Amino acid sequence: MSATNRPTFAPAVDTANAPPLLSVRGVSKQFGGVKALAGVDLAVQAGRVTGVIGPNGSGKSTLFNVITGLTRADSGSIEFDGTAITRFAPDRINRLGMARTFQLTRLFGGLTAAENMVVVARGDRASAWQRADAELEFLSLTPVRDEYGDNLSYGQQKLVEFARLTMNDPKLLMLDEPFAGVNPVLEQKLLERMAAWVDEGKTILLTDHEMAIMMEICHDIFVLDYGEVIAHGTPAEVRADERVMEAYFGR
Amino acid sequence: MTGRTPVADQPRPDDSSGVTVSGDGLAATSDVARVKPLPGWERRLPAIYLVLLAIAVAGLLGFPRVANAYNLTLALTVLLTVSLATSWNMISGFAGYTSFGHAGFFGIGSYIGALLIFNETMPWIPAMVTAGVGTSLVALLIGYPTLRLRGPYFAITMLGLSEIARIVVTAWESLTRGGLGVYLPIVRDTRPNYYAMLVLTVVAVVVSYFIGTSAFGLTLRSIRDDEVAAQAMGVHTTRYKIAAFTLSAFFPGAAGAIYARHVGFIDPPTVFAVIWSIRAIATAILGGQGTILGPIVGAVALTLVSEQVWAENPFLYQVLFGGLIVVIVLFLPGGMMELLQRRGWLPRSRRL
Amino acid sequence: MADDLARPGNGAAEALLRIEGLEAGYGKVQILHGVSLDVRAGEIVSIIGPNGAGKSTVLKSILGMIKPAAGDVTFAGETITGLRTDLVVRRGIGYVPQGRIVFRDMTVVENLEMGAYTVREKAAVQEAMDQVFAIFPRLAERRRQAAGTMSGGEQQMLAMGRALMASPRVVLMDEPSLGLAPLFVELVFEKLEALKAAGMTLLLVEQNAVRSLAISDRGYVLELGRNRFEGPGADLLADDRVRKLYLGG
Repeated sequence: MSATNRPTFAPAVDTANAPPLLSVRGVSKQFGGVKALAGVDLAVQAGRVTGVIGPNGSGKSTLFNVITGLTRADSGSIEFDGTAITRFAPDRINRLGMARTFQLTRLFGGLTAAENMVVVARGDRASAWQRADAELEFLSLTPVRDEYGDNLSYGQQKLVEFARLTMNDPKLLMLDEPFAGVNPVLEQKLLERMAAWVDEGKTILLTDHEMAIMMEICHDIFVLDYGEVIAHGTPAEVRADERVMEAYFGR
Repeated sequence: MTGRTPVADQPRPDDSSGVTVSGDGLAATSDVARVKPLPGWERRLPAIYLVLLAIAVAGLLGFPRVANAYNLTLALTVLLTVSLATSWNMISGFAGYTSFGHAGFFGIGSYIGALLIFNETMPWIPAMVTAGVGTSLVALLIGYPTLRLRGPYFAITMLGLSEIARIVVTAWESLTRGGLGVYLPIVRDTRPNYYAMLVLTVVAVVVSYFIGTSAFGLTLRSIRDDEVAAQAMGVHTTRYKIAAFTLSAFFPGAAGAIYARHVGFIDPPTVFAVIWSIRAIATAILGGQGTILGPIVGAVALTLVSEQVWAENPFLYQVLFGGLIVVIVLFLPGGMMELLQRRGWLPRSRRL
Repeated sequence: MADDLARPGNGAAEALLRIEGLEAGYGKVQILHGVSLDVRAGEIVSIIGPNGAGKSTVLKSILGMIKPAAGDVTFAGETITGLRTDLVVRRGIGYVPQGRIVFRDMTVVENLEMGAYTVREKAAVQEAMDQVFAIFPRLAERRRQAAGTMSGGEQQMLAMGRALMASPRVVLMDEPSLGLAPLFVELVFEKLEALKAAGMTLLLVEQNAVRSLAISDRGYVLELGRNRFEGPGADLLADDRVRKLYLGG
């Protein structure tokens, strides 16, 4: 059974009326004949947890890749923290303060857990090693600090990816299906880490299929279907929306 | 939190990271105790290397005194191959961009050096350095477009560029004397060339060590392991790749210049011959690409063996080297280093 | 309707295809934790469930694309667990993979001929093609058209037709309606019913639970790699618990 002390996700500061940290406007993307995204509008408020859900093929991954610069949109604009990032390369976007994880963990297999974190750190190396160690400690990963990435178990890889995410203190954390293939023990750890981030005032945008968790931790949810936003609101609002049920269960 | 309890029994978590094990090894058992610490002597490697290097250099410096002409040339060849393999390893092993165009750099450097000497523009030592620098500049120029290409495409493109370099050199007769080749003044004494090659090789080895153990090298490895992830984490992948590529081009360039002086005559088919690439690749991967020691060990071992056994037959030579690449890639891509590490005789250390 | 595309099946009670206690995954990640189901001749059976349930993994395990870590797959009484994919197909299991994978540069006819790769006699291939065209007249109209230029729905028809060319006894389909416009979704499910009417046995993995349960004799609901509910299609469709599963309890 799930743990009794689930972390809470109240945003540190209520920023509902401030301009959004991330705003996506009219983004479209076509692959061959398939419209992956058809004019998506989305806004992420600072300090909150925003979720994107939708059935398979709804365009969630494409949306993530477009926002983080791995894929180029055909049209539309993306603005992050006051900067238009629509055509930026992924590394440039990351340096502006947006960091992401991947659905299938992408650690550097030939580097140790600690090296995985230090290699992406900008700025002072010495403090990078310290921060890496502190982060690994927080996640109880210190024993595998010097183990190579490709020797880590799936759960450990997921945690190290999480740890690596904050090495440069990003403003926006983009989590791509963080709970995929994860069982209750690991889930609890990931949630704890995320709750701590929210406490620190960080902003999270995530997508996942684990409905129960999404409903529990998101302040705001956007629902995609066939590349369009078909619903948007609080978890309660979205869950009650007929169109959302139809999108998932069929019509 | 209702509705999430599975119908069947609870998964049985076996470790703190929360992974369920079932059947055989679908999820790696991740006992905390499994991480093997590096052996004590690994920490002393920098000091060990320094000592070994000093001994080697001392020995190699004294070698000309006891060696006959044949052995001296053999030693020079070994050093040349170490330079080529080690520098190839910088872009291909550490950064993961496998190049089949190392011969192109060798040829370009060879021609720059030879022409500078031929036209009496400068003495041969500066000419050699200029050849290295010049070749690096060429690499810098072609780096931007070519390093955008993915693995196999990059490899083939480099092969093509090497050939193009050969053709350009052949055609540009007014500058290079084309197919006639370049004759350099005969130098009877092999020793200066040998010493020059020794210096170059030592520099290559030291640079390789620093790349392997530095933050720069760590970043290169991350690019090799997963370039997309590295980019997504904010790494300036383009800069790092170009840096490695440019650095890797200096050594074949300078070595080519020394080679030109040593043999006294060069022409395009000789110095742009693909066998120069093949030798670099075969020896580096035999020893273990992506490591510091691998290319050195592979180059020394394979050069000595091949010179004794089959150098007489150039056809056999090329076939065996090419075949060796295929065999290693298929059965032991990490070369001898991987073999030793798998057997536990060597730890998996960045210092090796 | 023309002759059965399916060869005569066993008695209705005996399972044509059976999976028991299947455990499988990809590399370090285990997806299925002991899934069981069976398919009887002449039935349409649907596997539904929220994402991450492992539905596609079940099909891939049957086909040998993934070697199960544990469990058994039995077809027509013979164990085929972990058998190589091409051998599984030769035994009479057809497959329509997810994503309408057709040979884009080949014509409709050529695509169908590829489906009949394992069939020796030319006459049988022609006969199968005629039957496919009878079920999918749209394909007949476009027989010389390059598959890559057809619409999504037509490509799905082609993928289905191609799977039928080797006269399989059961066809596994992975999300046939995925990413198709509503009009084509209609068409796909119509055709599935037509196939059943022609005597074909179908094991369907679908995201569109409403549609697939509506045409299914029986269904299995998976969640997180385990069996959750099962029963007649209509019953599952009416069961509120099944709906709740999709949007998180």
